[in-house]
Amino acid sequence: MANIIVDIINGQFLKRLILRNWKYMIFLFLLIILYISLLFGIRNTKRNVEKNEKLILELRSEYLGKFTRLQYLSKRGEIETNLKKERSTLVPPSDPPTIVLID
Amino acid sequence: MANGSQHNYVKTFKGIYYTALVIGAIITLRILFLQYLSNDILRSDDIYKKEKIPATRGSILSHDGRPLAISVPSYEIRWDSKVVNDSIFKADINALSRALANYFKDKTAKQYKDSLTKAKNNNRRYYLVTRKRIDQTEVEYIKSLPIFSLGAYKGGLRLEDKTKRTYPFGNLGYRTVGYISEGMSGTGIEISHNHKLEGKSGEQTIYFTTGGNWIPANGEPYIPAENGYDIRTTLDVYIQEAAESELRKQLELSPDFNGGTAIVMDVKTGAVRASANLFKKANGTFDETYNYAIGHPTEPGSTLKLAALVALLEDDYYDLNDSIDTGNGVWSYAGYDIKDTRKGGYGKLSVQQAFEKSSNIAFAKMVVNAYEKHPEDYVERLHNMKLVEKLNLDIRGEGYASITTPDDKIFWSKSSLPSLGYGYALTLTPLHTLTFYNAIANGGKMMRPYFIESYERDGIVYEKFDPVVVSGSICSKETVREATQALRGVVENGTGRKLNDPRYKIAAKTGTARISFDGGYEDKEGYKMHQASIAGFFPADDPKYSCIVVLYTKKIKKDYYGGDWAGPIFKNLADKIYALNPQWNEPLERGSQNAPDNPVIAPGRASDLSTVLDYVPIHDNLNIKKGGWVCIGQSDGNISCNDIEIDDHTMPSVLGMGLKDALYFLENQGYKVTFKGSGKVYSQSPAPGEECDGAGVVRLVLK
Repeated sequence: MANIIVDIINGQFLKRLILRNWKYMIFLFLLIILYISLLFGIRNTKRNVEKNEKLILELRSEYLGKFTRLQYLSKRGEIETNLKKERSTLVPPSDPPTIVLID
Repeated sequence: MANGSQHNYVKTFKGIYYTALVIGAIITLRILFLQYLSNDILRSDDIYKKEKIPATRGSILSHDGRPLAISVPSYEIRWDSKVVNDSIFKADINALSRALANYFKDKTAKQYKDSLTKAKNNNRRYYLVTRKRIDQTEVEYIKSLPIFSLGAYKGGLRLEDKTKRTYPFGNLGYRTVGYISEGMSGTGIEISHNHKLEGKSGEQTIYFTTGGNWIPANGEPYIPAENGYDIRTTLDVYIQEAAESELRKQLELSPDFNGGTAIVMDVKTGAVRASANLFKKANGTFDETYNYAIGHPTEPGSTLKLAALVALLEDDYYDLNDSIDTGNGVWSYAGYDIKDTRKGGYGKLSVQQAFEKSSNIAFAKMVVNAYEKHPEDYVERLHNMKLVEKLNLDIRGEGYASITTPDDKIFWSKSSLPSLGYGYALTLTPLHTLTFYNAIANGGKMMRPYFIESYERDGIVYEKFDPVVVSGSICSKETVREATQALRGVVENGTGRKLNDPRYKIAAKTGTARISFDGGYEDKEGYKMHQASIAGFFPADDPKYSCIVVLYTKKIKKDYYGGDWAGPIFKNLADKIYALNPQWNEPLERGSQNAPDNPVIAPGRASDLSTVLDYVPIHDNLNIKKGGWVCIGQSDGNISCNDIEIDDHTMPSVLGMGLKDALYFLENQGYKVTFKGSGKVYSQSPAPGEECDGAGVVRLVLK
């Protein structure tokens, strides 16, 4: 036990473990770097996905908000009210449209 | 020297090594302390948690796919008063309050100021600024307001995501579309089909990352949310709106009305195209708050004479030309006086005339003459015609239709049989009555009324509901023909004359019934409640739509007749449906129409004009080239086609063009266009032919 502590304090274990197996240690080190990079990469991708999903929701919300207002304005009653406001002389049709057959 | 240098390196290395060793030891001790000794324990729940993925509630769509109810992401505006600096608050609170009051119009600026000041004094951290929610398009504006523009950490603005149920057409068909509360109570389709609309929420595990974000964890189970189905209804936005606006217009004419309903049904299928229900609120306005159409059974009155007529014709007791004596307008039977509207009575009438004039005496007498000995036969006949059949509607709230039967010792009396002849002693909802009329319009085939066409998701139909036949034939074809003739007579000569129109034929029957209240039809002071109604179909010779309108009054002394009050709603509604639908006119074939004497033809693209003019005879006199833009003029009755000159230095003419064509044409030449007015281009500046460089602004006046 005392030997191990001495080994650690004077750094002899580095000589034994690392300097003798330096190629393997470099390989391990690169693996760790790769692992961390991949983890960060995945995390960034997930964050982007979240961000884009939020953006899609916001755009959908914006679209639906505008769409809802447009639908309301497209009501015949609303159109007639707005035409009156504009003092338009347009009147609703009293006869049905006719289909024209095209070959 | 080399040894000394090497010694220094070793010393430095040792220094670094010992430092790293000490730091490592400190970190290890710190980890051990945090893990086993500290009270500030970090649990896995603080880093990982399960998150519910909410399902989007399905939309409710009209017959043509337009949304009647949709779920829209929205935001609640909350405010953290604690983060706002006092001096900033004092400086900007007035401006913020004014802006909020102007925008939302739900409180005054003073009320906003008072409530925000109170929240600030109480250090509220999650104060709800307004009950109104905003959508994404409004977020930028709210973020730009004083104080809020400082952001979450200095201005305290917090926008909380919520989903809001929105009704793009306002309260259109609201009683049918319905609503659902968080406590799962509600009405209409929203509650009846909630199991399909709500969808199934999903679940995922998320974890906390540095930077304060929660993101989905790897390798953990992920159950995606299953969005609710969209429900396509049978409602037609245009017809529904027409029904509601006509009903509202009429109800607002008299303070005596409590409410009313107008229903339009597709004859062949039983699909309900409109169901308008307006009920008078305490403030005197009308709103869709009570479903008269499906949930309000009353004695229908004279509209039910059609059922009596069909029974009498079907059982061969009478035909339309038989005569019946209605006397002087009062007929006493079993101690009760049965009266006609006309003072002095109608005297002798044919059955057809009795129906047209809606004689109570005639129908009471005919039913008594035919069924007095076996009243149960008449009741059975009404049952066989599925008049009081439970409709098993696809939305909740169907009212109970009932009929008094001879074996009912409590309610059946000698007066019950004649009463059944003119629409009393039984209760029907307006939809029951309409279903019966629809069966007559459909050649005797009774269809079940329905509101739901299909369950869909992303436009794909998952379940479709076909029309259901309640009875293949409620009476013979001959009886249907005679009943239609009688209904047509009502419109041509009888109580429904206001509905007569040379353009298309309406077949209908009016009804004016008294509503029973407090155990009678009239109180001691002479007050009574009326139900003015009309039911029928159009066009009579090839029915496409059936319709019923019923108006309900409060206790009054005045009479409200179906022909006078419900009739105009029916007629205006039918007119609007008529004007909308190309199926009323025969399609036009090439060359089948004569050209007008002075045709006005707007200038436009040669190819477009050529296609259109191909279908009118004047095309033979014109030589329209294949490409470019042309102007068609006339002089001395001769029509000519001229090219619109285009060159880079002269302003082309767009006079007479529609705005769409003029914009397309000029902007393709490189001009910018401004305009005012509506119609066709009346003048343009620079004027046609003026020198120009192919750029700049062209001002159009439309007229």
